[in-house]
Amino acid sequence: MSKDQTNSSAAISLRRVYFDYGAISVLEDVSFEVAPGEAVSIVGPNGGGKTTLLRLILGLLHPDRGEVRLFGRGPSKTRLRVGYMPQHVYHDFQFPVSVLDVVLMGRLDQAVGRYSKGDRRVALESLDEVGMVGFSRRPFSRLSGGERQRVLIARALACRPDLLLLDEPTANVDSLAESQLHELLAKLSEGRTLVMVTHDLAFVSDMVSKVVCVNHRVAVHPTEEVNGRSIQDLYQRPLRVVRHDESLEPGEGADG
Amino acid sequence: MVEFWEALVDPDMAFLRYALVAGLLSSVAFGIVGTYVVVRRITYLAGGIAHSVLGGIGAAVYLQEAHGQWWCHPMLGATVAALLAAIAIGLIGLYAKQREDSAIGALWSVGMATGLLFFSITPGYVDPMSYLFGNILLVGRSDLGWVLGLDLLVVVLAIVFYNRFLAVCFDEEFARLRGVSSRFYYLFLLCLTALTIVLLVRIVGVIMVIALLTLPAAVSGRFVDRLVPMMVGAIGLSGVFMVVGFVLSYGWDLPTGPVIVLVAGVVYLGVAAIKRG
Repeated sequence: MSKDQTNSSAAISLRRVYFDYGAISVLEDVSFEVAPGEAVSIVGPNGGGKTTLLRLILGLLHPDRGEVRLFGRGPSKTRLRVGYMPQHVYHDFQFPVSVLDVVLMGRLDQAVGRYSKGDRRVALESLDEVGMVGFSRRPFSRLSGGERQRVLIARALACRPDLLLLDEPTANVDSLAESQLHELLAKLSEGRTLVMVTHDLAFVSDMVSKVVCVNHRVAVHPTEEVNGRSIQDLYQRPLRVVRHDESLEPGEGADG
Repeated sequence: MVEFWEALVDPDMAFLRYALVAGLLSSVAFGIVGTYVVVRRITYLAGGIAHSVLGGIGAAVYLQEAHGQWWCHPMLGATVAALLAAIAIGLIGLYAKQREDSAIGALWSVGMATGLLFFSITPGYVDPMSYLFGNILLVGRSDLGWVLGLDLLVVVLAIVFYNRFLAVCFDEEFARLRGVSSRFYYLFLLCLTALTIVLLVRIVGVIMVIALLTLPAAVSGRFVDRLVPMMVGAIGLSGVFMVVGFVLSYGWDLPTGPVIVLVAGVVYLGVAAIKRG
C-alpha cells in the first residue's frame, strides 16, 4: 500500500521495464521516476530507444515485463492528462487546415460535435503562450519549421495538461528558430511537469534538473553531473557519437 | 443546349431527369467524402472498394433473376459489397501484417471476378458494360430513393463527426491520445466512402466512379487551404462536371459516364498544368 502511494505521487514511473520488437531487445531493465513539477530531458542516440520509451509512457506500446505508471495508473487510463507534441505529423504537406484548427485538436476530448467557445478561448490562449496568436487563421502548411513547432506546442498546451511531453522540439528548425524555441521552452518549463526528448543535450541542460540517458539501458543523472562529462560515460556502454555541441576529445570517434 | 433542356422536360425522357437529379444529389456526398479521401490519401483504397462493388451487384442480379428474390436490388448488393470491402481493407490495413496495397489489389480483382462470374451464371443476358461503365438508361425512380437516403446519411454523419474526422485524418496518433478511437473513425470513414461510391455506380460505373470522387476535391484543393471550403468547392465542381457531361453527351449522342469523367479529367489536368504552385 505504502509502495503504491509512492508510485502514485510520481507523474511518470517506470519499474524494471523491458521491451523488445521480436528478437531485438530495445529497452532493458529501465527504471526511473519523474516527480510532479520536475523538468526532465530524455537524451540518447538515434535507435537508442527514446521513441519506444515515449510510446511506453503514453501507453501506445506495452512493456514485455515491468510496469509503467502515468500519474499512478496505467497510461491508457491517464494519458488524457498529458499534452503531447510528436516529432512528426501529417501525411500531407498540403493538408488544408488553419493554425487554429490544429490547436483546437487539443480540445478533441471535450467536443463530440462542434468545439465550444470555451475550447476556442483555450486554443487562442495557448497560441498566445507560444507567441503565435496572430497566426491563428494562417494555413498550417505555409508556416516555417519553427512556427510549426510552436503551433504543435500550443496544441499540446491546449490539452491543459498536467504533464507536457515534447518529442524533439528542435527537429527540422534553423538556428534562429532554435534559439527562440529555447526561450519559449525555458519559460514553459517553469512550474510545469515537462519531459523533453532531444538528441541535443546542450540545448536543454540549463532548463532541466535531470537527464534520462537512453541507449538500450537507461541511466539517470542530475544535470550538473552531466555537464562536462563525456557522452560515453552517460550511456554506460561503448558508443560512437557525432557531437554538435563540443569538439571531440582525443581518441574518441575520430574515425567516424 | 436548348435540345437538352427540352429533353429534360420531355415526359418520355424521364430517365434523363432521374439521372441528372441523382447526379446532382450525389455531388454533395462526393464533394464531402472525396475531400477526406484526397487529404487522407486513400484514393487507391477507394478505387479498390469501387471495383469490388461489382461482386455485390453480380450476386444481387443473380439472386433476382435466378431465384426470384425481387427484394435483392442491385443497389442493395452494391451497398453491402462496398461496406464489406471497406471493412475488410480497413481491418487488413490496421491489424494484419500485410502490405496494404497488395490487399487492396487482391480485393479489387476478386470483387470484379466474382461479379462477372455471377453475371455469367445468371439466366438470360446481363450486360456487364452498363455496370462497369455506367448507363443512365438504368437510372429509375427507385434509384432516386437510394441516392437520397444514402446522401442524407453521408452528409449528416460527415457534419456531426467533422472534428473527429479532421483530427484523425490530420494526426491519427494525437487523436488517439486525446481519447478518440482513431481506428474506429478510420473504418467509419472508409464505410462512408463505400456508401458514397455506391451513389454514382449507376451513372458512371464501378471503374470510373473513383474519378468523380477524387478529381473535384483535388481541383478544389488547389485553390483553398481549409477543409470546409475545399468540400464546398468540390461539391460545386462535381455538380458542374455532372451538368456539363450530361449536356455534352446528349448533344453529341455519347455515353454520359465517360463524358463526365473526361470533363473532370480535363479540368484537373488543366488546373495542374496552369497552377503549378
